[in-house]
Amino acid sequence: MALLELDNVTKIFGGLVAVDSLSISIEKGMIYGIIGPNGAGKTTVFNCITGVYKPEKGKIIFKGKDITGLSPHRIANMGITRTFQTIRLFGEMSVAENIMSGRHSKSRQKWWHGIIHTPFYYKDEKENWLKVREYMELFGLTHLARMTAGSQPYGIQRKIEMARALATEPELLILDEPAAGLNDKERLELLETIRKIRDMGVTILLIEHNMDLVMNITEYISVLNFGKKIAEGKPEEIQNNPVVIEAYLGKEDEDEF
Amino acid sequence: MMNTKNAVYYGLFFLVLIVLPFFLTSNWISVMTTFLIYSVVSLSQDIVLGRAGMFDMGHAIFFGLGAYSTAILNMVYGWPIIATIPVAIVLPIIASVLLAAPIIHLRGDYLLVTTIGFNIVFTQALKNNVFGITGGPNGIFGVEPLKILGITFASQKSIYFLAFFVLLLTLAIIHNLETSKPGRALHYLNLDSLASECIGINTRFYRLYAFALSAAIAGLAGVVFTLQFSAVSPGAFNFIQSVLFFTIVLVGGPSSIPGVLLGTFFMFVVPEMFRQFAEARYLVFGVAMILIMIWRPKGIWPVKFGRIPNYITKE
Repeated sequence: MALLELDNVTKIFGGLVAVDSLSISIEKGMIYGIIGPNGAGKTTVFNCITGVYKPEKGKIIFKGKDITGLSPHRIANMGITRTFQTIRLFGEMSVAENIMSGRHSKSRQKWWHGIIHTPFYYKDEKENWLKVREYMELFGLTHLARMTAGSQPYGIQRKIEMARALATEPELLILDEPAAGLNDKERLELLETIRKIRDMGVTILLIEHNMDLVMNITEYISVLNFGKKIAEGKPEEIQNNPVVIEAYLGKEDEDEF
Repeated sequence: MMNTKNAVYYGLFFLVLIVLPFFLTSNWISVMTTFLIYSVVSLSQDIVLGRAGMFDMGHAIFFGLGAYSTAILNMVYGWPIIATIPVAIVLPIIASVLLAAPIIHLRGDYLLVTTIGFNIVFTQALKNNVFGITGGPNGIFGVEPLKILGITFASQKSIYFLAFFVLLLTLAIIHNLETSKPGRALHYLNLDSLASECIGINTRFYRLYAFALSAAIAGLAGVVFTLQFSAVSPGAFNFIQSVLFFTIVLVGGPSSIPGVLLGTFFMFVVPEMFRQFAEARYLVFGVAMILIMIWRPKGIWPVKFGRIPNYITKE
């Protein structure tokens, strides 16, 4: 059984069909890519999966459970977390506190621990901060722990966001254009990181504009154009697919509006 | 996780508050008692406004509900004061959840206007003597003093120390809040609600949590307020009072405990110091508020994040 299955998912904004009966199926442990020209509906698909949007039609099945239309925090608690195309960190807080936010659903503190600190609180708090330390070490952020997240360079902010998402211990990690705004060196590092995360047993779904990166790292790709899936297959199949090439060449004109 | 420097500051602050009433005139003890009570209310307002970032301009409602619960239960139904305290805490909690639940999803400015509306309805209800128990525009007089274990809190100094105790309790709760999962969740949802949801934070629950906790604390402050004056009246809980608490938090420094305490001092005690200048002091005071907001938009004593344990950065 696939880890995540989209069955004829349709999302409409006013008169615009942003995602048109999309069906994809993602197996556990793979790195899955979604590509397509600007405005093809890639981010909308992510927003439907993570509960930010409710699709008009279709079903989203995660680990055999229907998660269509559930609220984002419930979907996150089931094991799907994401990063954003435009980085969304808690800018005024420290790097460590940002990553700690990812521990929210794993921490077993109850509402009264915000009022009274019991022995359980100290145990739970320490466990989670130590996890934060692990993730900071994994991403090489330890020396920045006390620094303000919002004042870090772009590449670091991307890492913080990924560390935060990973700190939730997700089964499926969704990356929305993780290489956007990164330089070549940072992009290579990102490739390493993504592979490392996959080796930890996390399934990865990503959107990316950088073709080198997508072809290099993904094991399976779906191509979207105008909300519809126009092709799918292994990277080498996609690279030589005439329909895909046409969609991308047509991109120049479509940018006009 | 409090560092030594902070511990020394708080120690000094508490020491000053403990010796202060022995050097003050009766009039100033009264001012300082109200300062302690207003500090508690402002710290509770800060949970909703500063930490969770919701524009609640009706906080005097919860303060007033606590105060009136004690006064009504004591004067109308003859309860001893001590028995009224749980009601004065629980009733504001229930009211805050009922009021906030339908409007919690509203954007800042809409929430602001709605809570002002609630506050106006609240004071009108008090003035019009609803159910014949609120005493109308004059309020309720002659509330009994608090008696615990044979000790009667009747003298001015005893009520000052009662208020001081409630402030200590509030500070302890807020310290626990800001170093816990629920407290951090409030900051997260305030800074980015969508990102918070997407990492698994039930933002609606924690928004209501902020309202409930802050209403409980404000309600308790209300009890002490009633005891200080042995009376309650609608004027102490009107919309203008809510504006005062709201402003204290913004001027002092949202989410910052020393900021809110300084804000309360600046907004309430300082004007009392210049009482001889009558109305003219408010001119200087207004200008000072404007200047603070221009030069220190994050308050007199801005919040510092980075409350993380040392062991996570060491080997």
